[in-house]
Amino acid sequence: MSKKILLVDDSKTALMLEQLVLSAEPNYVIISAQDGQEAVEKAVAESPDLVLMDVVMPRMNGFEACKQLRNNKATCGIPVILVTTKGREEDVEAGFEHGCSDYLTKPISEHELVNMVKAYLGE
Amino acid sequence: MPHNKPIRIDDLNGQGDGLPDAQVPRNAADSDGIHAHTRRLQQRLAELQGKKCESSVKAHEGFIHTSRLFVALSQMNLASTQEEAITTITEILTNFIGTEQFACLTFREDQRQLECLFSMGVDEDRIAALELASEEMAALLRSEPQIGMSGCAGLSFSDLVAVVPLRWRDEPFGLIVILALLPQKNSLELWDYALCDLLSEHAAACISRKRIATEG
Repeated sequence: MSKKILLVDDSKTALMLEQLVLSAEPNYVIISAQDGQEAVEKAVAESPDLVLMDVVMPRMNGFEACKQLRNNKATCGIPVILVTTKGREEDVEAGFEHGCSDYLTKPISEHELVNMVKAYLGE
Repeated sequence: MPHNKPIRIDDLNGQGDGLPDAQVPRNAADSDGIHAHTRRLQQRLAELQGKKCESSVKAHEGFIHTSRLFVALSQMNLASTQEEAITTITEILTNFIGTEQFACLTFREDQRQLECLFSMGVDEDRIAALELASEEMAALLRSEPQIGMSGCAGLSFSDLVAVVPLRWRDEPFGLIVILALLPQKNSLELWDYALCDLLSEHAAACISRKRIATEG
């Protein structure tokens, strides 16, 4: 059974890399958004199984988008992993305060990313 | 003709079981020997499984690093303006290498002094200091281009993480000075040097082509 993953990043390079890595898994359907606002809209419309989201983005950052997803009845159950360069302790704490399920820092390790994605998708 | 030769583990895995032949019990009644042999085989199997896991992780990491190189190169080629070229190079430095502070300095028309084209996380005083030392840096890079200098001998910047010389049409074009890595990144790794190498070879062409297109 295929799983839908929403990738959110304003960086084309980061988005392309994550897409490339996750596309190697045959049962993943990848959709993407380039900022927090678009992510919230797509999450409501597409009901993904998992969201991988950057923090620093235009229009709406990842923290705010995460909070909005948690406060929406339609999206509150979707796991959100923040994938960001912001690796300081206070950033990680802020991420969890805004309701993220997990926190991954860039540069990403493919092994870590795929394992985490699989764990959240129950594989 | 039937093949009567007994099959040995060596024949199955092509590498042998790691046990000297003399240790393999020839007599089935020798149960102690069989148990000892079984234990050693189990041990060997566990070792091989460990190696298999290790090589699987290595293969995965190899895949992502190659993917990084592919994405970096293709995105540099896809950038259609100088602004896009700068964004792409910045993304490669932050997202792929894990840089927190850097400056890209390019040669002025006199080909002696360098000036900052773009930077991230570096204050103005530091950039001014880099530009002041640029003649010395430029001379150093002309004579001996290198990547990953941990501190530049003869310069007052002993805390540089790396200096990536940029070349265009076989001429020195400028350099990217990495001053700090992200807190979660301890040091540059082997694959980061491959990315620095890629930037060294292609970033200048990417910026130049786009600069000509933008200005021209």
